[in-house]
Amino acid sequence: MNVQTPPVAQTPPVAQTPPLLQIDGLEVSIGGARILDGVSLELRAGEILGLVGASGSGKSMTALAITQLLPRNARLGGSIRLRGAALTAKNEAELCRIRGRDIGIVFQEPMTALNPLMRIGAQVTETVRLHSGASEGEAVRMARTAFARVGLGEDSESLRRYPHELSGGGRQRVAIAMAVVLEPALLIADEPTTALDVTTQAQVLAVLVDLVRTTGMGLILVTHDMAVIGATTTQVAVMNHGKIVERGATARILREPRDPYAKELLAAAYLAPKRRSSTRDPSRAISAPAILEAREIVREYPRRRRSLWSAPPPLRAVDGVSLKINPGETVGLIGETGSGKSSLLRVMLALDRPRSGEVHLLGEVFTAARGAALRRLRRSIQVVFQDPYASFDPQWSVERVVAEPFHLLDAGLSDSERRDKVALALERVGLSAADAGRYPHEFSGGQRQRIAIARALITEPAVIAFDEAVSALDVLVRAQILRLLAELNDSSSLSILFVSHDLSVVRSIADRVYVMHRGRIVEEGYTEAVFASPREAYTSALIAATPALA
Amino acid sequence: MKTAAARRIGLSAGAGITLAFIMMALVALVWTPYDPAGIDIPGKLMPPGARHWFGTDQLGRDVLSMIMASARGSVGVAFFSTGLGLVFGVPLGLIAAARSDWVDEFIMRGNDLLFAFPSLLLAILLTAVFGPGAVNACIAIGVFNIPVFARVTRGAALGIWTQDFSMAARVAGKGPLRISVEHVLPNLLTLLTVQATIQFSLGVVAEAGLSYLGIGVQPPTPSWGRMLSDAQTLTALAPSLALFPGLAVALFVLGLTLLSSGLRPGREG
Repeated sequence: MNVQTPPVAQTPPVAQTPPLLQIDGLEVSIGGARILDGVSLELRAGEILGLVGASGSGKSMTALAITQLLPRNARLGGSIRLRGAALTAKNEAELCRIRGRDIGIVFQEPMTALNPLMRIGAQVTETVRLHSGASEGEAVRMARTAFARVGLGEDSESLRRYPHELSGGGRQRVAIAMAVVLEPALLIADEPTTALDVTTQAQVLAVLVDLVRTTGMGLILVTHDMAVIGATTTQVAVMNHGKIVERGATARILREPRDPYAKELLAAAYLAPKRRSSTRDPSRAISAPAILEAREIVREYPRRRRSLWSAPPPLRAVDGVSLKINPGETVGLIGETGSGKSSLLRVMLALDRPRSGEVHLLGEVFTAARGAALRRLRRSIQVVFQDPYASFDPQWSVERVVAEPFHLLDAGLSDSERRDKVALALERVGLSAADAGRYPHEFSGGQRQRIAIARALITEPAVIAFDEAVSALDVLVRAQILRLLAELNDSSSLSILFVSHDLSVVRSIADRVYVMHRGRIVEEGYTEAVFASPREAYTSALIAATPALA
Repeated sequence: MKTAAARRIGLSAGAGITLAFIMMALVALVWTPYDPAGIDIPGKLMPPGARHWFGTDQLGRDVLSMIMASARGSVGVAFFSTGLGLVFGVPLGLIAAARSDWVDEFIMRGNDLLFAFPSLLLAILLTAVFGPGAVNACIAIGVFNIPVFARVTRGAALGIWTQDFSMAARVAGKGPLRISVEHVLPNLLTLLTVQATIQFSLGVVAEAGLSYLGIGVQPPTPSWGRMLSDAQTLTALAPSLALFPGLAVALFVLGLTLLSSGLRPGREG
């Protein structure tokens, strides 16, 4: 094992004090399977330690082990010491006092961490009163301080809100306020920003960094995002298969990782699929007519009636959007949650009808097509969805899934023809023909996304739309899928519409980008030009909020 | 929380009891120890013994044979009333889920209307109007299964419709009918099996109830419900007369309930 000793010599003043948290040879096994294998970590007060790795690497399990919140059938070995006292020796009652008072925890999903029926102020006050003998008034005062610290506002009105009245970022702030209200010495944040938009992520990370600076607590930040690590942490531990493969100062590891897995993880985070440069040549794209074009699309949703007599004005999700995709081009559509990008995509796929505006596909009006014409046009546009687990009927075999778009062909295919084409499509996306007989649940997330791409490719479409298609994937798998997309885009005249909230992903793959905000396109242009010198304030804010490695 | 082992035991016990009652009903079609309608006044009100395992009633009929023969009506009425609910309710639910417009509103408001009436009371009304009998009991109970199945189907189908694979099927040019049949219905089968088992057990109880009131299965065909009402006046004299039909209904419903909760997916540990 190439576990590194922490660079004690570089930080002589801090090394004098005993570490806040010291983990030695931590081992966790569940049902005979070893989840953690000899994990050793050290964290000092005022330090931010990043715990990074792919899903299943054991980083969340390490966080659970520190808080002693492991599943009941888990077996634990090694030692965890908080300020020199062994946590592994404590009983449940002592641990309950420690959690919340000495160790604060923030989880990934902000909605499930809060009680939806309780006012946010009351939830934080309850935490205070459970863990300290504070009076009601004192608890409220402490809650206010905590709310002010996380930037939620300390007036009574903001304390009286319910979780559903807050955005995802706001809820995560409440969760952080709950975790830090008793000023714990150690805060563990498990993927605290993964479910959030980029600008919200930046705000939440800033809150965390600020808390460490002002209170001097230690923070363990669990994440799969190297860019987040680079932007916030001072120390980092890279985990793989339950082991720490590399440990050291963040700056050093980002600059020159020594372990091969750490190198791979970092390379994947830089997201630079190799591709033919000619597609980025502006002159090439303009010469041919557009493959897919949206003109002045307006899409409205009726709002829930509150009165019997008057209907409320509809919610305008897409407000006069025009967008164009040229042959062989990869176009990125960037937008945060609720920007209307998914509504726009549904209109562009002719799944929903716009209130006004037209979608043109291969020069024909897609939005007005019916019957045979619609079926013919549908062959030319396919889609890959975000969630690789919801994309397939769980009862269908891979062959049946991939062959489903053949429904669009006028003449039926013979069984052998269909099997050949499915096999070909599977091989094109890096799977084998033998996989056709298996079922989706037998595949990993990345492989499922490959199956989804095979399904999209089977009718040889001119355009494939990717709706957040890599957002649910691990960095390593994401890099593989992006490489596959770049290859497909290079080897055929396939055009790609890539919808995502992740700017670094879009930047790595798109020739041109559109930025969508509140139902409108606020900026468009060639990717590098937009990223290098955004014209709109909103775009600049998005780019500034994206944690970057380079 | 139930463990996996407890679930398995519940499931097999439920399946065993249910199967035993259905077998009993089938056997009773061709054979019972005595003629369930065979009156034998001298041998009346015999306690359970070697000749008549469950004893005889006030007319000297063999109680075991009557219990067996009653299972026919019970299983039959429950089966057909559940079937009626499935055949009409499931398609209505699928249509309502596929069309989120006035068709959906129409179906679901019609549903609410049926739900608004106490079902057993209306079943009594229906049989009172159209005459008592097994067939009318089937229809009366079955009509109230329709909204149950429609609602359950619609709710679950709406969930399937929001899944990406339904969207992918639409992108593949499939219409709502085809998607309902190919994707939605197959994914609802487990849920519908559980619901059908529940409705089946409710059907058993409802049939017993209607027969108890004298508007279900008509004499001379025996039925657990009427056996109970006949035994009511004789409880002091021959308590076993009420015991056996009561046990039969309770045990059958217990078996069906165990079966349905055993079949219910997920939520383990």
